[in-house]
Amino acid sequence: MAVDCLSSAALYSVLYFAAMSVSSVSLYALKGFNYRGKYLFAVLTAFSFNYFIYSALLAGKYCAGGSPQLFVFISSISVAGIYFDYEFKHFNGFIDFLKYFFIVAASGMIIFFTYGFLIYIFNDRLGHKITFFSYPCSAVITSAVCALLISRLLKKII
Amino acid sequence: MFSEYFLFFNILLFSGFGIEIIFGHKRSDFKPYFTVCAVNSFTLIINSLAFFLLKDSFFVKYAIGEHYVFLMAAASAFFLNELFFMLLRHSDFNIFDSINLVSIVFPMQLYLSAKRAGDVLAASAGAGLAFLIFSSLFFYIKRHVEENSDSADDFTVFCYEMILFGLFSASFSIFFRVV
Repeated sequence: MAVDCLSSAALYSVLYFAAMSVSSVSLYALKGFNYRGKYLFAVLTAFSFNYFIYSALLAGKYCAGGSPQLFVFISSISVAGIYFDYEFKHFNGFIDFLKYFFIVAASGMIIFFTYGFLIYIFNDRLGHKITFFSYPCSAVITSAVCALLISRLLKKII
Repeated sequence: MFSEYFLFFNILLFSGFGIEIIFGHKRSDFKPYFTVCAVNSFTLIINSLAFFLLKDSFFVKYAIGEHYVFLMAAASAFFLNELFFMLLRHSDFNIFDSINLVSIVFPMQLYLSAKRAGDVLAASAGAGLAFLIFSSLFFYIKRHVEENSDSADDFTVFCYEMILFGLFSASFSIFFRVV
């Protein structure tokens, strides 16, 4: 298994972004339907794309904690992508949607790269035991802080 | 085995995995929120046991790949949740009630890693109970944050809730590790 944590972070960012994009596009296409089965459809479609990327990029050789394949399963249920279905009616135009889409995407990617970089630095000292899934509580805190900072930065810029 | 999974592993794990149910929708009433968490915990146990018991006798025997198993696990979790909601006459629906990480990913993790059916039962029961208790506790914290944050916008409140949730999870895990 490779221990190049920054390459792993890049791969996870790609999977995360792909799942979020596919889920939100699927749900946008089905926004006229009220049946909740559309969320199942979005997850299954996102998983198909993610599994293709996983196979094409030989993702199994990257550092992903206990089971590298498990990340493909986790990332295909894109919480952010599905949540956009709730937000479609609240967005004030396509630009507003894009703004929030990239806030969420950037936050997720920052988490992966922050974690990848930290693991890269502290890998030797902690006996090569750190993985992406070792400390979910700190990941939650990091994601919230990133989302807060990026949203404030974007609000000032846009 | 049950207490090991309950204390050292699942609270920490499901603080992240159940996040979409907890944050997905602002429910002011505790009953529908608790119903959703209880149904998902029950589905988690059934799905974990069913897929593990079918592993050797069906999936391995007919060489069905793990990616197909995941597709079946997702569909199974969705329809089981919908069935229980129908039986309980649940009406206050949220987008993550039927399809979420709790009832889909953890059964897959057990399917990939567990060795015996007894381990699956202990792990899934510990996880389900931990999720139910943890999410119930968090409901009161979340309501308290909302009551005291009238001046902030929704997204900022959401981020503060995430921070609070992470700190809560960290304190739980540190407490049980120390004890």
